Amino acid sequence: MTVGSRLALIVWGCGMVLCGLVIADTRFSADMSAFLPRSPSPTQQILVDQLQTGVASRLVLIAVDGAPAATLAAVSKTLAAQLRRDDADFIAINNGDQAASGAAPERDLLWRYRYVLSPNVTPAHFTADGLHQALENDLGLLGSDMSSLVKQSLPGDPTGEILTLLGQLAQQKQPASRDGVWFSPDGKRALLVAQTRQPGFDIASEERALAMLDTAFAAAQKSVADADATRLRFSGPGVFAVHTKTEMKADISRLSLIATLLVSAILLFTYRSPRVLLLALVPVASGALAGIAAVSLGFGFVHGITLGFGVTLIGEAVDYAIYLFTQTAPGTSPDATLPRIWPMLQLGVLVSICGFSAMLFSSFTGFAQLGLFSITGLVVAVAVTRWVLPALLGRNFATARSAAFAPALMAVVAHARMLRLPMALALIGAVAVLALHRGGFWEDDLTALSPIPASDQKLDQTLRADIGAPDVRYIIVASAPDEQQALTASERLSTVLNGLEGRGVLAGYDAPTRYLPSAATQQARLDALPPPGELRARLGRALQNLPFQPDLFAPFLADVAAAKAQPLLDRAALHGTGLALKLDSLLVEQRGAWTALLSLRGVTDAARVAAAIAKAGITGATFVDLKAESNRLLEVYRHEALMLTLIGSLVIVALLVVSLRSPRRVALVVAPLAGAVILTTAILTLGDHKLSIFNLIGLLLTEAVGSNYCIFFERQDWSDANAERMVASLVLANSCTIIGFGILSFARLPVLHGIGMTVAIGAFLSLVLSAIVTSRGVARR
Amino acid sequence: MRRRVSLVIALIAGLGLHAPPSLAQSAPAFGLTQLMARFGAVKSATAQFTERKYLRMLKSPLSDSGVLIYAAPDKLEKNTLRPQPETLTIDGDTLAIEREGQTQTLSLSAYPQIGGFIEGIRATLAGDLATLQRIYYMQFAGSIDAWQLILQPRDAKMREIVRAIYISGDDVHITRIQTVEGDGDRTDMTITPGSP
Repeated sequence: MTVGSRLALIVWGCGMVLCGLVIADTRFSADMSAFLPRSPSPTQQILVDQLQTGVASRLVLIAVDGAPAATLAAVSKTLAAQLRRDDADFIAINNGDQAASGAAPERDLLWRYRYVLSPNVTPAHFTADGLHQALENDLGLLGSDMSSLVKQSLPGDPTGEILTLLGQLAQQKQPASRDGVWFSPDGKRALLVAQTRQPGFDIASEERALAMLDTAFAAAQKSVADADATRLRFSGPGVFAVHTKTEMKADISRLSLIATLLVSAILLFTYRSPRVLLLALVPVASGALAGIAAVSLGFGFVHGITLGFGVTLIGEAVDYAIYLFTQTAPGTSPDATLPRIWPMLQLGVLVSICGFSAMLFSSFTGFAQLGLFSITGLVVAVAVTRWVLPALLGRNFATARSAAFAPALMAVVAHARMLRLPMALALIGAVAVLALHRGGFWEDDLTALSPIPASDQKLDQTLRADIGAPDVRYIIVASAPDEQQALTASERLSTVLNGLEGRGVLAGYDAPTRYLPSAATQQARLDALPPPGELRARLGRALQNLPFQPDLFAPFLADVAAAKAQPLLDRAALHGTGLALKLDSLLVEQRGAWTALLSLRGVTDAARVAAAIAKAGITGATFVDLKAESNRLLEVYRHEALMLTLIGSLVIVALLVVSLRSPRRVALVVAPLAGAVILTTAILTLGDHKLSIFNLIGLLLTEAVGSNYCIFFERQDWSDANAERMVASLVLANSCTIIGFGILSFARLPVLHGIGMTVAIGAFLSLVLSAIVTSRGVARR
Repeated sequence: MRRRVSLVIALIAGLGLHAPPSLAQSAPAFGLTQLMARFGAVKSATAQFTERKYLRMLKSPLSDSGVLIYAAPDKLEKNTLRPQPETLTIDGDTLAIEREGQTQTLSLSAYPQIGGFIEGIRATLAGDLATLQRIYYMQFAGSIDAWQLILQPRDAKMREIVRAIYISGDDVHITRIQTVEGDGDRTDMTITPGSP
């Protein structure tokens, strides 16, 4: 062993140990939002943040079905009682059971703070005339069928503030109800809504909470008679996160195993030597370790999807070892082979790096990680092949059998020229497929990119419809430096919206100030209440000619005096009620800035709402169409993926121009690649299928990976005796790449599936097309 | 129980009604089953009503009048015309009250105390004996052309709202509904068949 070899081994060994140490300390993440852009607009940032940490992310929608309604209701009540005892995982459980769910504190709170909460509290409302009018209205209510509803509150609240407040709350649609608990409208599912203590992206906590849910359900099933057939189903952002993680783990470990086994089997079959197999895997394993370590150092965490691409690295990095082994002729040393293939390897790796480096600039953290992982992995793999493998192989290594199938391959390649016409026809066909494609090339549905399986999405939609959770499309976002200013903005917006509601432009809305008015508004309302003596006198006048018993309204006088004396309502006072839940979702503090969210219902003319909001000139207020916003987001994703692919392609061509220094040679490399990209795109869009951004990224990777074969083919001196070995090594390497990416296309996660399928097809076509294009020399031989 | 029963009897006596002999007994008589079956066959009905309310909060009673419309199996509409127009509609689980152009909607099952009361009237009209028995202790007396049905909520909470409902009728025509509320307030509704 030479001094150089020894040095290489030492450097490699130390490097691997260091990588191992870094990886041991690495945080792995399954948060799919890594595949959302890093720097969207401020509005989008609010939405993304809300999605990740807001109240909505903590909701778990639960359904119990499979039994008659009475049984389901009993299970629902028992389950809810069990979960309410679990303070560690859940902060709120609602199943519509008003006796148990804490509707009472909510009503008490509304009652206690009715004079600061009710928008009807104005000076005019409390004049003798205003009071008289209210009392006449009360008389009407007492005579009506609502008498049993108003009787209780009347002595304390003749002006009907509590009715106003309850009316506002009742505007939000409540789920159907049977036997005192929530049900789907058809009565087949009992429904519960749970709020977890931790946000949905905290997968460990979500997993614990969901396990707790399963346990509580099993217990409820046992304690309720005839409940054995009942079934528990749940949905929500946290549930999705847990499912996605489980699925990703299963996908990645299963697919890595299959890919490793298949590639190993091929190598074992070809070389008939376990030792060679292990040696072939050395560059791959080294590259994977270094890639993970680099991503960990660069990003602070490693995404599960990035690991998934370790699978593809198996296919790609094993190529280098294959080139070395297969092209080493019997009786020669690997040291002699290397100088011959090194220029091609070097150029191949450089081109791959160019392709992958375009991904580094992606605003998707996930893609940027993929880029860094692949670049590091490939560089390390090729370096290990160049300097470490020869040291490990020893001087007299040769794979005598490796080229056994080479003559047959050569014969095929020699006749590849005959395939030029079919190739041209296929390309014309591909162009026709692309030209005749109907309905747009691009996948417009954001959910198609979602890692959540369609069945889970459907369950979620069903439960959301059952529970009457509004599918909010329009919201108004008002940002302010502090809580009071955000609330003031919400109040000013409410005034505008009230006007629009009166004109039928929208059916209704929900605002944070329904639950927590600004301090100024609260104070103004208290100031509208007359002092005790004055109120008594006005009430006396108002009661003239009305049949109410004298002294009936003593509680009213006492309550108004108490309201004026008690402190204003604040966020802390709402704690533990359903109102706090609502407020938390509508008033959000993030990084020291406050945001009020107003959700609109039944908007008939969005443009008019937007114009009215703009005209009102409220600082920091923006009208947001979530659907348009999500379409725009998709547009941004797609544009970026397209730009990355184009820039990556241009850089690859530029690199080839610089290193090959001949337009003809560049064309011989680029033409098959371009053909492969066109054919792959056509195949992917056959039957009017649409391209996702994952397909687009896959095309970029096709260029990065496929270019290697084109370079080898183009560089080959066909008269050389080593040509056979070269072709054999390329076919072998290509098979391994196709296996790596092809296996990935069986993944259920759209990102893995989309990229895997695209690259598997593209890599195969690159090899075939470059054989066809460059095989002229063979024919001449 | 005995105290409550005697109180109800006293009340009924106070209302000038004939109290049936054994209130504690809840098994329906044959006559009730037969009546319910007859009600069950009625698909729709319209009647006029006048109502007087005796409330402790007020020095004098309130009265109103209007039209009742029933459509089998679970739709009931009370159209008050005087003194103030008001429409109360019960359709399935939804209770809607429309007054002065504003509609208030409640879910009956969300307010079981109120829901139970309405269910009593509606289940009687629908001939739904099972529902009535689930919610009330029942008493039936009289003949098919002059019967009286007394409903007392089984649920203690509901009794705080409605102490008892007395329904009188002639065949499938309800002629009078008297309601005694938990706080002693009472309502007396007289019903004449046919539209105005």
